[in-house]
Amino acid sequence: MLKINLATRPFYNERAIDTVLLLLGTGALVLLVVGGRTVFQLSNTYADVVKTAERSEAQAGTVAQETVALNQSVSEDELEALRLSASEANRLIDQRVFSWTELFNVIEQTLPDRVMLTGLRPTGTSGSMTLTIGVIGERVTDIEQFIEDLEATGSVDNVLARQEQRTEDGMYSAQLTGEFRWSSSRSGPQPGVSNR
Amino acid sequence: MSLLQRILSEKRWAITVVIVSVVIDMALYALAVVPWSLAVTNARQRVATASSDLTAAEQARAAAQITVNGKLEADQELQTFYRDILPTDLSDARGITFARLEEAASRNNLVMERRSSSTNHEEGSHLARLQMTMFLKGDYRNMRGFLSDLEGGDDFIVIEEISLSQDNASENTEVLTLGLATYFWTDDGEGTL
Repeated sequence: MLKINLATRPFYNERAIDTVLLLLGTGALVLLVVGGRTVFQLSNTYADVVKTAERSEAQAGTVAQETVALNQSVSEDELEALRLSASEANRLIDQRVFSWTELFNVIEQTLPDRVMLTGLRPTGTSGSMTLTIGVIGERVTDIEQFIEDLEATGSVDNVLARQEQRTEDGMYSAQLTGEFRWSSSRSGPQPGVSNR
Repeated sequence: MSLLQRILSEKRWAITVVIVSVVIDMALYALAVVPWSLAVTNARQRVATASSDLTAAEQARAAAQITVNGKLEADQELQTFYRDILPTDLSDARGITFARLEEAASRNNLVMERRSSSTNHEEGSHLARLQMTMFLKGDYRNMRGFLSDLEGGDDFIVIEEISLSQDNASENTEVLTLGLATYFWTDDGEGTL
């Protein structure tokens, strides 16, 4: 009969320890593979991203050079001269397309019988022109009536009798100013050619 | 010998392999994965900056292009205005004012009493101005017709000022004083008489 003391080698679950070690080893291996793959992917991504950045930087440089060349092709002096010429041309076109017929229609509608038109002079640009109107009337009240009627049409605003005086023949002459609104349909060179 | 010491002793090779693997993993992540991740993040920021720089540069180029195109267009329109709409020179300007105004006056039964003209040139402008003052006598309705003819005509004649005065109350005639002007291209200083 074999007599040994089994208490000197106590039993432990060797298979469980092996399994834990196997799992830990497998996990470490998987992490190693994933880590290696991540490094590979990151290095590829880095190369692509840097290439994209370099391409964008190069394009921005080229575009900036083209912008400088474009800006140098048009000097500020040239633009200023052009602005002045365009402004002058537009002013002349406004004067040319100014509707005297429309203005006379407004005045004829509102001129009292005892007031006579003696002069007309428009100044300004499209949309609103300052009118200087010379009239002679028998009474000051007739001229005032003309002013009120003119404003009532809505075509002439801010009418003011700048000067009124009695003439030798007992009439009253007056010089009126007002803003005449009319519709211009011109198409000409525009002065605002630069936005830079 | 405790149980743990016994396990470590009996499984030392396997445990060593696991520990070495974990250390290699940690080293890999600390020395490669994290630095590469940072490098990629920085590179992406660089791309974003370069991209916004490119967008700004393209916008600046577009604005410059608009300026250049606007200048060319305005230049062309001005040349068309100077060449096709305005009289070409003093002779042409004189032609449209002297002959055609008289023709329009007679067509509207107005009598031209007298007229005067002069040219002047605004400093800095390439346009010379032929200014004319006309004194016309006739019926008010005919004067309206004359003005309407001028407005509707093709010639570039600007009516600058109108004065009316009664000439003969019994005949119902009036005197119309017209301030007219036309413009023509000239080099600086030229065109002044």
